[in-house]
Amino acid sequence: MSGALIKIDEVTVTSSVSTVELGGAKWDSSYNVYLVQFSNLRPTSDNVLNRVRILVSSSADTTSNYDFGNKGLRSDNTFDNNTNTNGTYWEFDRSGNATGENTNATLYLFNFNNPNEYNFITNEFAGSSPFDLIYGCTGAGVHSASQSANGVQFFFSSGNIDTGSKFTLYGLKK
Amino acid sequence: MATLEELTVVATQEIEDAKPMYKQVNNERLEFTDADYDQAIIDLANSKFDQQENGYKTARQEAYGSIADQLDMIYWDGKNSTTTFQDHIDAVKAAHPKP
Repeated sequence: MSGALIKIDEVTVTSSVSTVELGGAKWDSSYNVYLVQFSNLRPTSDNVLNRVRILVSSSADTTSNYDFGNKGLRSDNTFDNNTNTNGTYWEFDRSGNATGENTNATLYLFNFNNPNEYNFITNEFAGSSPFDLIYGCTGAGVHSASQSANGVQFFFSSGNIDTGSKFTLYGLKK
Repeated sequence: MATLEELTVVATQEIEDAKPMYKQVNNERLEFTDADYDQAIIDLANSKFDQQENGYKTARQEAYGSIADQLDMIYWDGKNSTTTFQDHIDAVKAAHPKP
């Protein structure tokens, strides 16, 4: 359907940073569902985990309300599981920074504007991983506090988000 | 085995060494606030603690190899009366011990 995906915010990292925030002051609360895409995501440190927090009143929520479950889909080995409850972030996939390695993903955000519901996220990752193989990662997370949110923050388990990493936030038109 | 408090000291020094750190907000590149630096220290210390406590699990999973390869070892051990699979698992566990 033409025009159903409305761009709200976009960030292209032009000089490495520790965190990237989408939404915040640019958040448009008129949508029920949001879609986040990132492409060519690269860390400055090798073999690091992708982490996401919600923004509440434009500040990263660091409370211990993040639960998630993911299945890592590896081309060389047994699929692996990555799960946690009562963490301070959602965690997805691993990223590496060797030549040719990068990570791309689509995330859906649900209930971000409803103060009476938990915030949910689903994730679909595709990339080449630090294990030198093709890696997919699919799963979901919940932030188990009934509150509105107005964006998401991205960061790695260590190191910075490298130049060229691109993040885009869309609203799904009703 | 370091305590979380001890690892927080290490993390604090690493963040201090990494300054200045930046965030991209509203497409502006801004230096971390004091609160951002405090959170970065907490996150790094927790990551170090988790790696210390649970890192062996990921390392073992990586080193074990695929289930297909392990089943192949078991099959040939049965055929040849060898202990390749047992030796492999023992070696992986020894290389990545529980803390």
